[in-house]
Amino acid sequence: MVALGQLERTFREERAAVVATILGRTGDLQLAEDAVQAFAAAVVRWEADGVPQSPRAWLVVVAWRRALDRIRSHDARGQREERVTGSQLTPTGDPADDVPGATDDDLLKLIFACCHPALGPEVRVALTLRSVAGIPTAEVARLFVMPEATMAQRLVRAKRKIRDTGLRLEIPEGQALQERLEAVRSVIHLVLTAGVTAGGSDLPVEVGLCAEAVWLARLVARLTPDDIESAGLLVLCLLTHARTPARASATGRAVLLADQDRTHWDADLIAEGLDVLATSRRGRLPGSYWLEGAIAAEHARVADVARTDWTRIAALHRALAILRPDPVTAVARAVAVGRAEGPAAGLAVLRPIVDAGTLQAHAPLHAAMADLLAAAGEDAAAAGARARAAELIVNPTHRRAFGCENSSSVSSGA
Amino acid sequence: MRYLLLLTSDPSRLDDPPQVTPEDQVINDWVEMTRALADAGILVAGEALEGRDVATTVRRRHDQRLVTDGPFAETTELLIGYYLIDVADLDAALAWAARMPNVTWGSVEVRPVRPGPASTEAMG
Repeated sequence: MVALGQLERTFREERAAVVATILGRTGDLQLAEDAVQAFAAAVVRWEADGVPQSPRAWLVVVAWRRALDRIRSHDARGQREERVTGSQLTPTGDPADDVPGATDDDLLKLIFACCHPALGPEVRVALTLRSVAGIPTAEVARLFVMPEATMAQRLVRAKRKIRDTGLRLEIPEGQALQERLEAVRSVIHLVLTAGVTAGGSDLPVEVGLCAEAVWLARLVARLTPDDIESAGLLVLCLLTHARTPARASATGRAVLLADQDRTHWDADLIAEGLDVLATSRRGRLPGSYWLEGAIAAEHARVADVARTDWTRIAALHRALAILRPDPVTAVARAVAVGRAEGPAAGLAVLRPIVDAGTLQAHAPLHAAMADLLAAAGEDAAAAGARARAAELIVNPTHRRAFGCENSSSVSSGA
Repeated sequence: MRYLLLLTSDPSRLDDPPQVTPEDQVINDWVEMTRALADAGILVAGEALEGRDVATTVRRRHDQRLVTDGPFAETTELLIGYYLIDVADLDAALAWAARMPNVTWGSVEVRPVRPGPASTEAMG
Protein backbone atom coordinates (compact mmCIF):
# COMPACT_ATOMS: atom_id res chain seq x y z
CA MET A 1 0.00 0.00 0.00
CA VAL A 2 1.38 3.37 -1.00
CA ALA A 3 1.96 4.88 2.41
CA LEU A 4 0.33 8.15 3.22
CA GLY A 5 2.79 9.99 5.44
CA GLN A 6 2.13 9.75 9.14
CA LEU A 7 1.04 13.35 9.41
CA GLU A 8 -1.09 13.05 6.28
CA ARG A 9 -2.95 10.14 7.82
CA THR A 10 -3.54 12.11 10.97
CA PHE A 11 -5.20 14.88 9.02
CA ARG A 12 -7.18 12.77 6.60
CA GLU A 13 -10.39 13.74 8.26
CA GLU A 14 -9.47 17.38 7.94
CA ARG A 15 -8.87 16.90 4.22
CA ALA A 16 -12.15 15.07 3.78
CA ALA A 17 -14.05 17.75 5.67
CA VAL A 18 -12.65 20.48 3.43
CA VAL A 19 -13.43 18.48 0.28
CA ALA A 20 -16.91 17.99 1.68
CA THR A 21 -17.43 21.67 2.32
CA ILE A 22 -16.40 22.76 -1.15
CA LEU A 23 -18.54 20.03 -2.66
CA GLY A 24 -21.48 21.31 -0.67
CA ARG A 25 -20.98 24.84 -1.90
CA THR A 26 -20.24 24.12 -5.55
CA GLY A 27 -21.69 20.69 -6.32
CA ASP A 28 -18.37 19.87 -8.00
CA LEU A 29 -16.34 17.09 -6.43
CA GLN A 30 -13.45 17.35 -8.90
CA LEU A 31 -13.13 21.03 -8.15
CA ALA A 32 -13.14 20.27 -4.44
CA GLU A 33 -10.38 17.71 -4.76
CA ASP A 34 -8.26 19.99 -6.90
CA ALA A 35 -8.68 22.73 -4.33
CA VAL A 36 -7.30 20.60 -1.55
CA GLN A 37 -4.22 19.60 -3.49
CA ALA A 38 -2.49 22.17 -1.38
CA PHE A 39 -3.04 19.70 1.45
CA ALA A 40 0.10 17.67 0.85
CA ALA A 41 2.26 20.78 0.65
CA ALA A 42 0.59 22.15 3.77
CA VAL A 43 1.36 19.01 5.69
CA VAL A 44 5.00 19.22 4.71
CA ARG A 45 5.09 22.78 6.03
CA TRP A 46 3.43 21.71 9.25
CA GLU A 47 6.06 19.07 9.80
CA ALA A 48 8.66 21.83 9.66
CA ASP A 49 6.80 24.71 11.32
CA GLY A 50 4.46 22.88 13.62
CA VAL A 51 0.76 22.23 13.26
CA PRO A 52 -1.53 25.30 13.37
CA GLN A 53 -4.05 25.52 16.17
CA SER A 54 -6.96 24.65 13.93
CA PRO A 55 -5.74 22.68 10.94
CA ARG A 56 -9.21 22.40 9.46
CA ALA A 57 -9.82 26.14 9.49
CA TRP A 58 -6.41 26.74 7.95
CA LEU A 59 -7.07 24.28 5.14
CA VAL A 60 -10.55 25.54 4.43
CA VAL A 61 -9.37 29.10 3.89
CA VAL A 62 -6.65 28.08 1.48
CA ALA A 63 -8.79 25.58 -0.41
CA TRP A 64 -11.85 27.84 -0.63
CA ARG A 65 -9.92 30.67 -2.20
CA ARG A 66 -8.35 28.26 -4.63
CA ALA A 67 -11.77 26.90 -5.56
CA LEU A 68 -13.13 30.39 -6.18
CA ASP A 69 -10.17 31.27 -8.37
CA ARG A 70 -10.78 28.17 -10.41
CA ILE A 71 -14.43 28.96 -10.86
CA ARG A 72 -13.81 32.52 -11.97
CA SER A 73 -11.01 31.77 -14.39
CA HIS A 74 -12.54 28.65 -15.83
CA ASP A 75 -16.08 29.56 -16.59
CA ALA A 76 -16.96 31.93 -19.42
CA ARG A 77 -20.70 31.44 -19.19
CA GLY A 78 -20.78 32.57 -15.61
CA GLN A 79 -22.95 29.64 -14.70
CA ARG A 80 -20.60 27.98 -12.25
CA GLU A 81 -20.33 31.00 -10.02
CA GLU A 82 -24.10 30.98 -9.70
CA ARG A 83 -23.84 27.44 -8.47
CA VAL A 84 -21.96 28.65 -5.43
CA THR A 85 -24.89 28.79 -3.09
CA GLY A 86 -25.66 32.32 -2.14
CA SER A 87 -27.64 31.57 0.95
CA GLN A 88 -24.77 32.22 3.29
CA LEU A 89 -23.01 35.09 1.55
CA THR A 90 -21.85 37.96 3.68
CA PRO A 91 -23.36 41.45 3.23
CA THR A 92 -20.66 42.38 0.73
CA GLY A 93 -21.91 39.56 -1.48
CA ASP A 94 -18.36 38.43 -2.10
CA PRO A 95 -17.97 34.69 -1.64
CA ALA A 96 -14.29 35.18 -0.85
CA ASP A 97 -15.29 36.85 2.41
CA ASP A 98 -17.47 33.97 3.39
CA VAL A 99 -15.25 31.02 4.16
CA PRO A 100 -17.42 28.02 4.86
CA GLY A 101 -16.92 26.04 8.01
CA ALA A 102 -16.16 22.38 7.38
CA THR A 103 -18.63 20.58 9.59
CA ASP A 104 -19.53 17.01 10.37
CA ASP A 105 -22.70 17.50 8.36
CA ASP A 106 -20.56 18.33 5.34
CA LEU A 107 -18.55 15.15 5.88
CA LEU A 108 -21.68 13.06 6.00
CA LYS A 109 -22.90 14.72 2.78
CA LEU A 110 -19.65 13.85 1.05
CA ILE A 111 -19.93 10.21 2.08
CA PHE A 112 -23.55 10.11 0.94
CA ALA A 113 -22.61 11.65 -2.39
CA CYS A 114 -19.90 9.04 -3.01
CA CYS A 115 -22.32 6.25 -2.08
CA HIS A 116 -25.32 7.55 -4.01
CA PRO A 117 -27.39 4.78 -5.66
CA ALA A 118 -27.23 6.57 -9.01
CA LEU A 119 -23.54 5.62 -9.14
CA GLY A 120 -22.55 2.04 -9.91
CA PRO A 121 -21.69 -0.13 -6.88
CA GLU A 122 -18.01 -0.56 -7.78
CA VAL A 123 -17.62 3.12 -8.50
CA ARG A 124 -19.07 3.93 -5.08
CA VAL A 125 -16.31 1.94 -3.41
CA ALA A 126 -13.59 3.47 -5.59
CA LEU A 127 -14.91 6.99 -5.11
CA THR A 128 -15.21 6.58 -1.34
CA LEU A 129 -11.63 5.35 -1.13
CA ARG A 130 -10.43 8.22 -3.31
CA SER A 131 -12.47 11.17 -2.12
CA VAL A 132 -13.29 10.33 1.48
CA ALA A 133 -10.26 8.30 2.52
CA GLY A 134 -7.84 10.23 0.31
CA ILE A 135 -6.24 7.14 -1.21
CA PRO A 136 -4.26 8.09 -4.33
CA THR A 137 -5.85 7.04 -7.64
CA ALA A 138 -2.95 4.74 -8.50
CA GLU A 139 -3.49 2.80 -5.30
CA VAL A 140 -7.24 2.53 -5.82
CA ALA A 141 -6.55 1.23 -9.33
CA ARG A 142 -4.21 -1.42 -7.96
CA LEU A 143 -6.80 -2.55 -5.44
CA PHE A 144 -9.30 -3.03 -8.27
CA VAL A 145 -6.68 -4.71 -10.46
CA MET A 146 -7.18 -2.06 -13.12
CA PRO A 147 -4.85 0.23 -15.07
CA GLU A 148 -4.52 3.61 -13.43
CA ALA A 149 -5.80 5.45 -16.52
CA THR A 150 -8.98 3.36 -16.55
CA MET A 151 -9.65 4.00 -12.89
CA ALA A 152 -8.93 7.71 -13.31
CA GLN A 153 -11.47 7.83 -16.14
CA ARG A 154 -14.11 6.05 -14.07
CA LEU A 155 -13.61 8.45 -11.19
CA VAL A 156 -13.78 11.50 -13.46
CA ARG A 157 -16.99 10.19 -14.99
CA ALA A 158 -18.50 9.58 -11.58
CA LYS A 159 -17.61 13.06 -10.36
CA ARG A 160 -19.07 14.53 -13.54
CA LYS A 161 -22.24 12.63 -12.91
CA ILE A 162 -22.44 14.02 -9.38
CA ARG A 163 -22.02 17.52 -10.75
CA ASP A 164 -24.13 17.41 -13.88
CA THR A 165 -26.95 15.09 -12.94
CA GLY A 166 -28.17 17.10 -9.98
CA LEU A 167 -27.50 14.50 -7.33
CA ARG A 168 -29.06 15.71 -4.11
CA LEU A 169 -26.33 16.68 -1.70
CA GLU A 170 -28.56 17.28 1.32
CA ILE A 171 -28.74 14.70 4.05
CA PRO A 172 -32.02 12.85 3.57
CA GLU A 173 -34.53 12.10 6.28
CA GLY A 174 -36.61 9.20 7.48
CA GLN A 175 -36.73 6.17 5.24
CA ALA A 176 -34.47 7.72 2.62
CA LEU A 177 -31.81 8.34 5.27
CA GLN A 178 -31.90 4.71 6.36
CA GLU A 179 -31.56 3.53 2.78
CA ARG A 180 -28.62 5.82 2.12
CA LEU A 181 -26.91 4.81 5.34
CA GLU A 182 -27.33 1.21 4.30
CA ALA A 183 -25.61 2.01 0.99
CA VAL A 184 -22.73 3.63 2.87
CA ARG A 185 -22.36 0.64 5.16
CA SER A 186 -22.41 -1.65 2.15
CA VAL A 187 -19.46 0.21 0.67
CA ILE A 188 -17.47 0.02 3.90
CA HIS A 189 -18.28 -3.66 4.25
CA LEU A 190 -17.09 -4.25 0.69
CA VAL A 191 -13.81 -2.53 1.52
CA LEU A 192 -13.37 -4.80 4.57
CA THR A 193 -14.22 -7.94 2.61
CA ALA A 194 -11.86 -6.95 -0.19
CA GLY A 195 -9.14 -6.49 2.41
CA VAL A 196 -9.64 -9.94 3.89
CA THR A 197 -10.17 -11.73 0.58
CA ALA A 198 -7.19 -9.94 -0.99
CA GLY A 199 -8.26 -11.00 -4.47
CA GLY A 200 -5.84 -8.71 -6.25
CA SER A 201 -2.84 -9.55 -4.13
CA ASP A 202 -0.20 -12.18 -3.60
CA LEU A 203 -0.25 -11.50 0.12
CA PRO A 204 -2.65 -13.13 2.54
CA VAL A 205 -4.36 -9.84 3.38
CA GLU A 206 -4.65 -6.31 2.05
CA VAL A 207 -3.70 -4.60 5.27
CA GLY A 208 -4.35 -1.15 3.87
CA LEU A 209 -7.95 -1.95 2.91
CA CYS A 210 -8.74 -3.39 6.32
CA ALA A 211 -7.30 -0.28 7.93
CA GLU A 212 -9.35 1.94 5.59
CA ALA A 213 -12.50 0.06 6.48
CA VAL A 214 -11.81 0.71 10.16
CA TRP A 215 -11.16 4.40 9.51
CA LEU A 216 -14.35 4.79 7.45
CA ALA A 217 -16.41 2.82 9.95
CA ARG A 218 -15.12 4.93 12.83
CA LEU A 219 -15.96 8.09 10.91
CA VAL A 220 -19.50 7.01 10.05
CA ALA A 221 -20.13 5.74 13.58
CA ARG A 222 -19.02 9.11 14.93
CA LEU A 223 -21.28 10.97 12.49
CA THR A 224 -24.31 8.76 13.27
CA PRO A 225 -23.97 8.22 17.02
CA ASP A 226 -27.42 6.78 17.63
CA ASP A 227 -27.29 4.22 14.85
CA ILE A 228 -26.82 0.68 16.14
CA GLU A 229 -25.95 -0.65 12.71
CA SER A 230 -23.14 1.88 12.24
CA ALA A 231 -21.82 0.76 15.63
CA GLY A 232 -22.20 -2.88 14.64
CA LEU A 233 -20.27 -2.37 11.44
CA LEU A 234 -17.53 -0.64 13.40
CA VAL A 235 -17.31 -3.62 15.76
CA LEU A 236 -17.05 -5.99 12.80
CA CYS A 237 -14.30 -3.90 11.20
CA LEU A 238 -12.34 -3.53 14.44
CA LEU A 239 -12.46 -7.19 15.36
CA THR A 240 -11.70 -8.33 11.83
CA HIS A 241 -8.74 -5.99 11.50
CA ALA A 242 -7.54 -7.04 14.96
CA ARG A 243 -6.70 -10.40 13.45
CA THR A 244 -4.60 -8.90 10.63
CA PRO A 245 -1.20 -9.43 12.31
CA ALA A 246 -1.95 -13.16 12.62
CA ARG A 247 -3.17 -13.76 9.08
CA ALA A 248 0.26 -14.29 7.59
CA SER A 249 2.94 -16.68 8.81
CA ALA A 250 6.57 -15.63 8.93
CA THR A 251 7.02 -17.18 5.51
CA GLY A 252 4.05 -15.34 3.99
CA ARG A 253 1.60 -18.22 4.11
CA ALA A 254 -2.03 -17.47 4.86
CA VAL A 255 -3.04 -18.62 8.33
CA LEU A 256 -6.70 -19.35 8.76
CA LEU A 257 -8.80 -18.49 11.79
CA ALA A 258 -8.61 -21.76 13.69
CA ASP A 259 -4.82 -21.84 13.37
CA GLN A 260 -3.96 -18.21 14.07
CA ASP A 261 -1.65 -17.31 16.92
CA ARG A 262 -4.06 -15.29 19.00
CA THR A 263 -1.28 -13.60 20.94
CA HIS A 264 -0.67 -11.68 17.72
CA TRP A 265 -4.19 -10.29 17.61
CA ASP A 266 -4.34 -6.56 18.32
CA ALA A 267 -5.55 -6.32 21.92
CA ASP A 268 -6.38 -2.60 21.67
CA LEU A 269 -8.65 -3.07 18.65
CA ILE A 270 -10.34 -6.00 20.36
CA ALA A 271 -10.91 -4.03 23.52
CA GLU A 272 -12.35 -1.15 21.51
CA GLY A 273 -14.56 -3.48 19.50
CA LEU A 274 -15.93 -5.28 22.54
CA ASP A 275 -16.58 -1.99 24.23
CA VAL A 276 -18.52 -0.57 21.29
CA LEU A 277 -20.49 -3.81 21.07
CA ALA A 278 -21.50 -3.65 24.72
CA THR A 279 -22.34 0.05 24.85
CA SER A 280 -24.21 0.20 21.54
CA ARG A 281 -26.87 -2.36 22.36
CA ARG A 282 -28.77 -0.26 24.91
CA GLY A 283 -31.71 -2.60 24.94
CA ARG A 284 -32.41 -2.05 21.24
CA LEU A 285 -33.04 -4.66 18.62
CA PRO A 286 -29.74 -5.59 16.98
CA GLY A 287 -29.29 -5.17 13.25
CA SER A 288 -27.46 -7.53 10.93
CA TYR A 289 -24.06 -5.82 11.22
CA TRP A 290 -24.36 -5.76 15.00
CA LEU A 291 -25.01 -9.50 14.95
CA GLU A 292 -22.01 -10.05 12.69
CA GLY A 293 -19.97 -8.01 15.12
CA ALA A 294 -21.26 -10.14 18.00
CA ILE A 295 -20.22 -13.27 16.13
CA ALA A 296 -16.75 -11.83 15.56
CA ALA A 297 -16.65 -11.01 19.28
CA GLU A 298 -17.21 -14.64 20.16
CA HIS A 299 -13.93 -15.43 18.43
CA ALA A 300 -12.13 -12.35 19.71
CA ARG A 301 -12.88 -12.88 23.38
CA VAL A 302 -11.45 -16.41 23.45
CA ALA A 303 -7.68 -16.92 23.81
CA ASP A 304 -7.86 -20.62 22.99
CA VAL A 305 -9.73 -21.72 19.88
CA ALA A 306 -10.86 -24.89 21.65
CA ARG A 307 -12.97 -22.76 23.99
CA THR A 308 -14.97 -21.15 21.17
CA ASP A 309 -18.64 -21.07 22.09
CA TRP A 310 -20.11 -22.51 18.90
CA THR A 311 -23.54 -22.89 20.43
CA ARG A 312 -23.69 -19.17 21.05
CA ILE A 313 -22.31 -18.46 17.57
CA ALA A 314 -24.93 -20.73 15.99
CA ALA A 315 -27.67 -18.91 17.92
CA LEU A 316 -26.37 -15.55 16.70
CA HIS A 317 -26.33 -16.88 13.16
CA ARG A 318 -29.95 -17.96 13.48
CA ALA A 319 -30.89 -14.44 14.57
CA LEU A 320 -28.87 -13.08 11.65
CA ALA A 321 -30.70 -15.37 9.23
CA ILE A 322 -33.98 -13.63 10.01
CA LEU A 323 -32.53 -10.32 8.85
CA ARG A 324 -30.40 -11.79 6.06
CA PRO A 325 -32.12 -14.86 4.64
CA ASP A 326 -29.76 -14.98 1.64
CA PRO A 327 -27.76 -18.12 0.78
CA VAL A 328 -24.34 -16.49 1.15
CA THR A 329 -25.03 -15.68 4.81
CA ALA A 330 -26.42 -19.21 5.26
CA VAL A 331 -23.07 -20.76 4.32
CA ALA A 332 -21.34 -19.33 7.38
CA ARG A 333 -24.32 -20.34 9.49
CA ALA A 334 -24.02 -23.93 8.26
CA VAL A 335 -20.47 -24.19 9.53
CA ALA A 336 -21.39 -22.79 12.94
CA VAL A 337 -24.37 -25.12 13.23
CA GLY A 338 -22.14 -28.00 12.21
CA ARG A 339 -19.67 -27.17 14.96
CA ALA A 340 -22.37 -26.72 17.58
CA GLU A 341 -24.73 -29.56 16.71
CA GLY A 342 -22.80 -32.01 14.57
CA PRO A 343 -22.06 -32.18 10.82
CA ALA A 344 -25.44 -33.62 9.86
CA ALA A 345 -27.18 -30.50 11.15
CA GLY A 346 -24.75 -28.28 9.26
CA LEU A 347 -25.19 -30.25 6.05
CA ALA A 348 -28.97 -29.90 6.41
CA VAL A 349 -28.50 -26.14 6.19
CA LEU A 350 -26.27 -26.41 3.13
CA ARG A 351 -28.14 -28.96 1.06
CA PRO A 352 -30.95 -26.70 -0.20
CA ILE A 353 -28.35 -24.11 -1.23
CA VAL A 354 -26.31 -26.69 -3.12
CA ASP A 355 -29.46 -28.04 -4.76
CA ALA A 356 -30.60 -24.58 -5.82
CA GLY A 357 -27.34 -24.30 -7.74
CA THR A 358 -27.00 -20.52 -7.53
CA LEU A 359 -23.73 -20.48 -5.57
CA GLN A 360 -21.73 -22.91 -7.68
CA ALA A 361 -18.98 -20.31 -8.19
CA HIS A 362 -18.84 -19.33 -4.52
CA ALA A 363 -15.69 -20.75 -2.91
CA PRO A 364 -16.91 -20.59 0.71
CA LEU A 365 -19.85 -22.84 -0.17
CA HIS A 366 -17.57 -25.64 -1.32
CA ALA A 367 -15.21 -25.01 1.56
CA ALA A 368 -18.11 -25.39 3.98
CA MET A 369 -19.19 -28.60 2.24
CA ALA A 370 -15.64 -29.96 2.53
CA ASP A 371 -15.57 -29.01 6.22
CA LEU A 372 -18.84 -30.70 7.10
CA LEU A 373 -18.36 -33.78 4.90
CA ALA A 374 -14.94 -34.40 6.44
CA ALA A 375 -16.40 -34.06 9.95
CA ALA A 376 -19.09 -36.55 8.92
CA GLY A 377 -16.43 -39.03 7.79
CA GLU A 378 -17.26 -38.75 4.08
CA ASP A 379 -13.65 -38.27 3.02
CA ALA A 380 -13.97 -38.81 -0.71
CA ALA A 381 -16.81 -36.33 -1.08
CA ALA A 382 -14.94 -33.90 1.17
CA ALA A 383 -11.86 -34.11 -1.04
CA GLY A 384 -13.98 -33.33 -4.08
CA ALA A 385 -15.53 -30.29 -2.43
CA ARG A 386 -12.11 -29.11 -1.26
CA ALA A 387 -10.73 -29.35 -4.79
CA ARG A 388 -13.69 -27.38 -6.14
CA ALA A 389 -13.18 -24.69 -3.51
CA ALA A 390 -9.45 -24.44 -4.28
CA GLU A 391 -10.25 -23.89 -7.98
CA LEU A 392 -12.40 -20.90 -7.07
CA ILE A 393 -10.13 -19.19 -4.55
CA VAL A 394 -8.37 -16.28 -6.24
CA ASN A 395 -5.70 -15.39 -3.72
CA PRO A 396 -2.79 -17.83 -4.14
CA THR A 397 -1.83 -17.86 -0.46
CA HIS A 398 -5.40 -18.66 0.56
CA ARG A 399 -5.57 -21.38 -2.05
CA ARG A 400 -2.35 -22.93 -0.76
CA ALA A 401 -3.48 -22.70 2.85
CA PHE A 402 -6.75 -24.36 2.01
CA GLY A 403 -5.02 -27.12 0.14
CA CYS A 404 -2.58 -27.86 2.96
CA GLU A 405 -4.70 -27.51 6.06
CA ASN A 406 -6.73 -30.40 7.28
CA SER A 407 -8.84 -28.08 9.32
CA SER A 408 -11.51 -26.33 7.36
CA SER A 409 -11.08 -22.85 8.70
CA VAL A 410 -11.51 -21.27 5.26
CA SER A 411 -15.25 -21.80 5.51
CA SER A 412 -15.51 -20.17 8.90
CA GLY A 413 -13.55 -17.21 7.68
CA ALA A 414 -10.23 -15.74 8.63
CA MET B 1 -33.78 20.90 -12.95
CA ARG B 2 -35.49 19.22 -15.84
CA TYR B 3 -35.37 15.52 -16.38
CA LEU B 4 -36.64 13.35 -19.20
CA LEU B 5 -38.21 10.11 -18.06
CA LEU B 6 -37.97 7.63 -20.94
CA LEU B 7 -40.58 4.94 -20.45
CA THR B 8 -39.99 1.50 -21.88
CA SER B 9 -41.64 -1.86 -21.82
CA ASP B 10 -39.75 -5.12 -21.91
CA PRO B 11 -41.67 -7.73 -23.93
CA SER B 12 -39.55 -10.55 -22.47
CA ARG B 13 -41.00 -9.71 -19.07
CA LEU B 14 -44.64 -9.52 -20.11
CA ASP B 15 -45.33 -13.06 -18.95
CA ASP B 16 -43.37 -12.83 -15.72
CA PRO B 17 -45.64 -12.65 -13.79
CA PRO B 18 -48.49 -13.17 -16.24
CA GLN B 19 -50.21 -9.97 -17.31
CA VAL B 20 -53.66 -10.03 -15.84
CA THR B 21 -54.19 -6.29 -15.80
CA PRO B 22 -56.99 -5.34 -18.16
CA GLU B 23 -56.16 -2.71 -20.78
CA ASP B 24 -58.39 0.05 -19.41
CA GLN B 25 -56.80 -0.29 -16.00
CA VAL B 26 -53.41 0.22 -17.55
CA ILE B 27 -54.70 3.39 -19.19
CA ASN B 28 -56.12 4.50 -15.86
CA ASP B 29 -52.75 4.03 -14.22
CA TRP B 30 -51.21 6.43 -16.71
CA VAL B 31 -54.03 8.94 -16.39
CA GLU B 32 -53.48 8.98 -12.64
CA MET B 33 -49.73 9.30 -13.09
CA THR B 34 -50.07 12.30 -15.40
CA ARG B 35 -52.57 13.88 -13.04
CA ALA B 36 -50.25 13.35 -10.06
CA LEU B 37 -47.38 15.03 -11.89
CA ALA B 38 -49.58 17.92 -12.88
CA ASP B 39 -50.99 18.33 -9.39
CA ALA B 40 -47.45 18.40 -8.02
CA GLY B 41 -46.75 21.26 -10.43
CA ILE B 42 -43.80 19.50 -12.04
CA LEU B 43 -45.16 18.29 -15.36
CA VAL B 44 -43.61 20.04 -18.34
CA ALA B 45 -44.70 17.55 -21.00
CA GLY B 46 -45.63 13.92 -21.41
CA GLU B 47 -47.11 11.62 -24.00
CA ALA B 48 -47.70 7.97 -24.77
CA LEU B 49 -46.20 6.90 -28.07
CA GLU B 50 -47.56 4.64 -30.79
CA GLY B 51 -45.62 1.40 -31.16
CA ARG B 52 -42.41 0.90 -33.07
CA ASP B 53 -44.32 -0.68 -35.94
CA VAL B 54 -45.42 2.79 -36.92
CA ALA B 55 -42.03 4.43 -36.39
CA THR B 56 -40.11 5.95 -39.28
CA THR B 57 -36.49 7.06 -39.13
CA VAL B 58 -34.88 9.83 -41.17
CA ARG B 59 -31.17 10.30 -41.78
CA ARG B 60 -29.04 12.22 -44.19
CA ARG B 61 -25.95 10.42 -45.46
CA HIS B 62 -23.71 11.37 -48.39
CA ASP B 63 -26.06 14.23 -49.08
CA GLN B 64 -28.98 11.89 -49.51
CA ARG B 65 -32.12 11.84 -47.42
CA LEU B 66 -32.75 8.32 -46.18
CA VAL B 67 -36.08 7.26 -44.79
CA THR B 68 -36.32 3.85 -43.18
CA ASP B 69 -39.21 1.89 -41.78
CA GLY B 70 -38.87 1.32 -38.04
CA PRO B 71 -37.11 2.81 -35.00
CA PHE B 72 -33.56 4.22 -35.06
CA ALA B 73 -32.22 1.11 -33.33
CA GLU B 74 -33.46 -2.39 -32.79
CA THR B 75 -33.72 -2.94 -29.06
CA THR B 76 -35.34 -5.51 -26.83
CA GLU B 77 -37.02 -2.82 -24.81
CA LEU B 78 -39.65 -0.72 -26.53
CA LEU B 79 -40.02 3.01 -26.08
CA ILE B 80 -43.63 3.58 -25.06
CA GLY B 81 -43.70 7.18 -23.89
CA TYR B 82 -42.04 9.96 -21.95
CA TYR B 83 -42.50 12.58 -19.28
CA LEU B 84 -40.53 15.81 -19.02
CA ILE B 85 -40.56 16.99 -15.41
CA ASP B 86 -39.09 19.89 -13.49
CA VAL B 87 -37.95 18.94 -9.98
CA ALA B 88 -35.37 19.96 -7.41
CA ASP B 89 -32.76 17.28 -8.06
CA LEU B 90 -32.05 13.77 -9.29
CA ASP B 91 -33.32 12.16 -6.11
CA ALA B 92 -36.71 13.76 -6.63
CA ALA B 93 -36.78 12.60 -10.26
CA LEU B 94 -35.84 9.07 -9.20
CA ALA B 95 -38.63 9.04 -6.64
CA TRP B 96 -41.17 9.93 -9.34
CA ALA B 97 -39.63 7.42 -11.75
CA ALA B 98 -40.10 4.66 -9.16
CA ARG B 99 -43.85 5.39 -9.20
CA MET B 100 -44.30 4.93 -12.94
CA PRO B 101 -46.80 2.19 -13.83
CA ASN B 102 -44.30 0.39 -16.10
CA VAL B 103 -41.49 -0.18 -13.58
CA THR B 104 -42.42 -3.81 -13.01
CA TRP B 105 -42.71 -4.73 -16.68
CA GLY B 106 -40.30 -2.21 -18.16
CA SER B 107 -37.89 0.48 -17.11
CA VAL B 108 -37.63 4.23 -16.72
CA GLU B 109 -34.46 5.97 -17.81
CA VAL B 110 -33.92 9.28 -16.03
CA ARG B 111 -31.81 11.71 -18.06
CA PRO B 112 -31.05 15.29 -17.00
CA VAL B 113 -31.84 17.93 -19.57
CA ARG B 114 -28.77 19.92 -20.53
CA PRO B 115 -29.51 23.60 -20.15
CA GLY B 116 -28.26 25.83 -22.92
CA PRO B 117 -29.19 28.36 -25.59
CA ALA B 118 -30.93 25.71 -27.75
CA SER B 119 -33.31 24.54 -25.04
CA THR B 120 -37.05 25.10 -24.83
CA GLU B 121 -36.56 27.21 -21.75
CA ALA B 122 -34.16 29.51 -23.54
CA MET B 123 -36.78 30.24 -26.19
CA GLY B 124 -38.94 31.86 -23.54
